[in-house]
Amino acid sequence: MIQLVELSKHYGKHVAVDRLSLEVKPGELFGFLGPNGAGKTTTIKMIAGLLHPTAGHILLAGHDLHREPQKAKSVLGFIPDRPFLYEKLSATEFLRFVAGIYGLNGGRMERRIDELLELVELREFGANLIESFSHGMKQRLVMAASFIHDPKVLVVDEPMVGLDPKGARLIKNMFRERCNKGETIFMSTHTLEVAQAMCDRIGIISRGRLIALGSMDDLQRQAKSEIPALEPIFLKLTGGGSFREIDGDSV
Amino acid sequence: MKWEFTPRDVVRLLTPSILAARNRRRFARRSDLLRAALFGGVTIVFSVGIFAGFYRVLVYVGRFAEFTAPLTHQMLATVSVFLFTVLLASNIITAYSTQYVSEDLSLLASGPIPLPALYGSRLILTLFQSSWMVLVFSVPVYLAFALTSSSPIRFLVAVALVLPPLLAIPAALGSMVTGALVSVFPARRVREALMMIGALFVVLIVFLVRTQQPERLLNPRSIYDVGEFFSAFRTPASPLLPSTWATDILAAARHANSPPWFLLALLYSTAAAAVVLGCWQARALYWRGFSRAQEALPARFTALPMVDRFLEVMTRPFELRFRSLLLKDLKTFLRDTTQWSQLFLLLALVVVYLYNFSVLPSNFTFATFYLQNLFSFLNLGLAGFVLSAVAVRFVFTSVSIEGRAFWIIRSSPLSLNEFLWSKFWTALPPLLVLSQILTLVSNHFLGASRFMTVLASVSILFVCFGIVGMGVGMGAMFPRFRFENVTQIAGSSGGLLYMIATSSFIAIVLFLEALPVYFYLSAEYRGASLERPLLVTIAALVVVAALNVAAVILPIRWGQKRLAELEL
Repeated sequence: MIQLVELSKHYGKHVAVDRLSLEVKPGELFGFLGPNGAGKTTTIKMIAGLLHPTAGHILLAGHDLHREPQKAKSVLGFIPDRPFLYEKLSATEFLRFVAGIYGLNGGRMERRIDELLELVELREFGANLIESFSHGMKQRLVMAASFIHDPKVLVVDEPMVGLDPKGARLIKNMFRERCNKGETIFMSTHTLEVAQAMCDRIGIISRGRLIALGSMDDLQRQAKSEIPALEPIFLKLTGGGSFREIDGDSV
Repeated sequence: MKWEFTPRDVVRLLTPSILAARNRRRFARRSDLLRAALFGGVTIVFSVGIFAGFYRVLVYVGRFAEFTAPLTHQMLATVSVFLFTVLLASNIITAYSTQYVSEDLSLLASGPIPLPALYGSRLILTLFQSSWMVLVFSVPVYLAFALTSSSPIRFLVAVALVLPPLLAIPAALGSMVTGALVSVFPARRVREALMMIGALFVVLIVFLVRTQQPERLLNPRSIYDVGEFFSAFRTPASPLLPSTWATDILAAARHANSPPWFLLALLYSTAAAAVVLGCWQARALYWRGFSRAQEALPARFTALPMVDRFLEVMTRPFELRFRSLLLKDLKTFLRDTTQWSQLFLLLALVVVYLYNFSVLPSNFTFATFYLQNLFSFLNLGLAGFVLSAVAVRFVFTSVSIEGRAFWIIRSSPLSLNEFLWSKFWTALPPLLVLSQILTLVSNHFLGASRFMTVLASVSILFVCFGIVGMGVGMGAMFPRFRFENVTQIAGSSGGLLYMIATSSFIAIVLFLEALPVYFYLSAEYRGASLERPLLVTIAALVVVAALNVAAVILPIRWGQKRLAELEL
């Protein structure tokens, strides 16, 4: 469903993403991890069509994002890490606007908007302007907007940032349900517990290169780790294992 | 005795602003330097214009010995009151952002910083941000006064002495007014009110100045009415106003009299007292106001269901994607009170523009058929320039105004071509209406012939397409998605380039139409047939139309290319 072929991104001499190739299958929840500055957001922005790759191809549901951008984007839902929205629109108006630019309207769409607002627990705020929303409420609204056209591919950058535990639980459930229905989710996160609990496969990127890929068992084998937990595996693979634990006494 | 704070604390709090300014210069890119050069150039042109205007009037007034002293005194008083009032209004508005909603305040407010130090540093920031432009444009005015005085150096020294307290007093008073407002009303309401007050204030000043018809001063016939003119233009000269003290000090310096030390001391002590009073008020009200400013209450003037329903019905016939964008743009525009204040200013500009034509003398010798129609032709250029000024604010900004939410458009299947054409068709109708009002009404006041009226109307119709096309296209070529205020987009280097491009474009249109107008006026003068002028006019209009098609299509295409290459 998502194919990245030899994808690279250079900023002058700096190589942010280096010949990244991977494939995410239909119904798969893929976790994309890496330390700060590893190239996660750059990759995600390239998949969302916000950044141009220096080299390589991106295929979404078989459509080349460069050659058929409209077709590729029509199957894509994108949730950025920071929810910048049209502050002067109400939540309902915003969803109606997004539906409109995806070519959707009518009574069915109105019902869908109601359902989505209900789903993200914003129904009672539907008529309120977005400018009065908290960060978490905006994040939930973006999620509702990304679901409005029932995308085949959902690309998510740091979904848990700014969400309360209830919101985080809601997201986890929604993502799992959507994957069960055959939707593909490509998710970047720093929350390793979430990645471990939710993702079918995980890719770890460091300095622009994919350094590990596979299920939890695969990663444990690759890292030669004895502990079946993502945090030590991640630290070992990304070179963060050398950091000494700091406890209260030693500080 | 241990002081609560030292001047060093104030300087420390100002360090980020100072370093940011230094870094902006140090890490300036070519585009930044270009923008600085453009702004510098425009500022110099305006300053020279202001200097020339004041110098000419002062030299002229200097010829009438008995009037000179009272007239120059009155002019100085007008300048002082104008400066003081503009500074006060500007400080009230600026203080809101620098002292209550600036992003770095949360860091400072959570730190162990003595309130007087915070107040002092923010007062200096407010003063600087609200006063630098007024100060820059006051220099040529005072220079003109100095060069026409008997003692230029003495006058300039007096200006240097008078300006610091004259800037500090409105800054302290403005901060106090804003502090009182924010502590009583929710911040967003205060912001809305300040925006409206600011706009109304500017409109009021423009109307006051314009309705006095200052051009009469340069008309030799009206010199006998100068006394009457100034009595009508009388400015408040209460002995309690700092602007009056400043005027008296400057007037004394202009005549090389000994300085009124008492007034100077009064000016400085008042400035010091205003700062201290402001600090006391801040102790009592600042934290309460700051806390209220953090409350995210929805704006009052945003929910107008009748208007929303009207817009939804009116846009129903349009294609779904275009309708979605149109509705979003219209609602966002109508709910943003900063846009309303700009609309007020626009309305004032149009009214003053048309008023200028309504007060043109009709019985003067130059009001012949020939000149009436020549003015009508030149008015085409003026109307085009007004349209450009409106378009730079409302059309050029239309792409950037998507702001940081532009990712929604870019990640959607909506093509950039559809997006930009939607912006074009949204902006065109209001500009077309405005263009026709400007030309038809001004031609009516001018008494232009039907030929000229029709030519002007059709030409401005074409020009309007070009101006809107260039606005959308260049807005996409020079986008600025990160901004705090929409006026920053219009005032960017791209905005200036747009103004230069549209001015050149209008000049080309005028050049193309000069020949048919010449043929027409010659034929009318000689009483010859209008067949030839009509043919030349049609040919010129065809060329103008073709030029406008290019001015629409090419910039939009270039803008689309630029946006496609843009990395968010």
